[in-house]
Amino acid sequence: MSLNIRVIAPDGLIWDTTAEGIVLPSLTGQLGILTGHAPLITSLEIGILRIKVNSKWTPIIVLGGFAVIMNDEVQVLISGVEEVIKEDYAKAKDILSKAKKDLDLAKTTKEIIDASQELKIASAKVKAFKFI
Amino acid sequence: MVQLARTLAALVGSAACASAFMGPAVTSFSGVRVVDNVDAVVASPARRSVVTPRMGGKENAIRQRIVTVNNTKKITTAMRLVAAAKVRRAQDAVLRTRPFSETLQSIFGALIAQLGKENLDLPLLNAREVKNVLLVGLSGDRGLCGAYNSYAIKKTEARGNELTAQGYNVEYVTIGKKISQYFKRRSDTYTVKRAFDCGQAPNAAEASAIAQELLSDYLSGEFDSVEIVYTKFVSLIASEPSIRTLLPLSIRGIEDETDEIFQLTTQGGKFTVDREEAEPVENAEIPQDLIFEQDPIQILNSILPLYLDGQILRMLQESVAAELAARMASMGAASDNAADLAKRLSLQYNRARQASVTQELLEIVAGADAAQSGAK
Repeated sequence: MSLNIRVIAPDGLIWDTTAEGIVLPSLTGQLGILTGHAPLITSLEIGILRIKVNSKWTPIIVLGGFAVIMNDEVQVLISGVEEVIKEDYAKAKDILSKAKKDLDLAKTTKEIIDASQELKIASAKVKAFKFI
Repeated sequence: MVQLARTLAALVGSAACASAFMGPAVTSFSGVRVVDNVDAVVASPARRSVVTPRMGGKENAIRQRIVTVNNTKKITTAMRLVAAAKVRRAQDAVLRTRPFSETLQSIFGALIAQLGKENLDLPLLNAREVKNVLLVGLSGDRGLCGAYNSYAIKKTEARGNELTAQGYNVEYVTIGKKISQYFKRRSDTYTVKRAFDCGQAPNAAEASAIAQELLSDYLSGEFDSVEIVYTKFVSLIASEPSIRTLLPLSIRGIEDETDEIFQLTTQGGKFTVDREEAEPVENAEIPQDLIFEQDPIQILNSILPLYLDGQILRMLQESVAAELAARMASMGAASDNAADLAKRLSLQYNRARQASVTQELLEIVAGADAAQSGAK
């Protein structure tokens, strides 16, 4: 038994694969799904989505969306993805520290929202390196 | 006798001046050709020994023009083919968006059916009294595509003026270099809130950046309605500037929407487009015991922005496809015109050449005659 996983962004299918398990960055915390899960719908935050194929985790950064789980099918609709590339660790850390600074400097509400989004993406990216 | 010789010399001199003056004047459309012509003039004494009839400035000018026209034709033909290849790519991109929009639509429809339309209190769906309107205009980044850009700009401007006349406060968001330039130049009449580039192949990141800005403008209460003017891609020869309300969203619009796909095909060696309406999407079957990990309202709140993302991406893609189609058409027309012009020019060239051949023959015959009568 395995899960069928479809990760779809507006400009195309990103993953269509079977996996042993998936961890979703839901709005209310990390959410692990295994086969035989009850039907469920959840919103997703900016964060790390990872799937387990052949006992190996593969992470990807999703930029918010939602997921539906029904009959061992996981449909994940997201507004976009950022890939995690092994070599970029130092760069990701730089971006994270820059994002932190930007958030401190932000004044208007809009700037704060933008900066905190950047920060979320950057910190998710840095955390994702744990899973490669 | 001396008097006659002087006038003759003067005439010949003035004629030479005239031709020297006329040479560059005829070919003054490009500096390069003028230089070529000077070369020809300089080289002409050497040509006297050649057997072929001596070409005057006029023939050379025409010959040069034929070469340029043919070169231009090569460029326009190439541009047309490039545009055709890109239309194909645009069409593939549209097909790739289908799984997203279909899944989204089916799940949204099912959720709404289960939750009931009445007890939804979502800011994105609630129409409020409209005072400030944000008008989004979409054009291309580049020219040489016929009237595509100017149609898009005119339509946006007309809609903006219409809304202003109705007493709404209108501000603009422009997507695409052409329309951004146009509105920027008229910044004393129009308030441009933001300008984006359109690009040649819109992707999800661009669309969602635009969607996010529009959403925050709407949700912050700064604007009560967001409209977009985009170009609907109908066929390779027709496109339709259209207006749509982006925000607030309407449930009906999301549920009833059917997708149209267009496909570039070749028929008898010519490009054509098939446009077909996709089957309406059926609602997903959602079991009654579905667990809502969060509040249903919160879940819908995360679905709706995705829908907006998809919509904007789709409109960007349609507009780009329309732009490419317009470029194909106008470059096709330019190639045809070039072929036509080259044909007319070569007629002119042949006529001028024939005239100089005849002229030379006459001179030879007259010379021979004169020599004969002189010998007698």
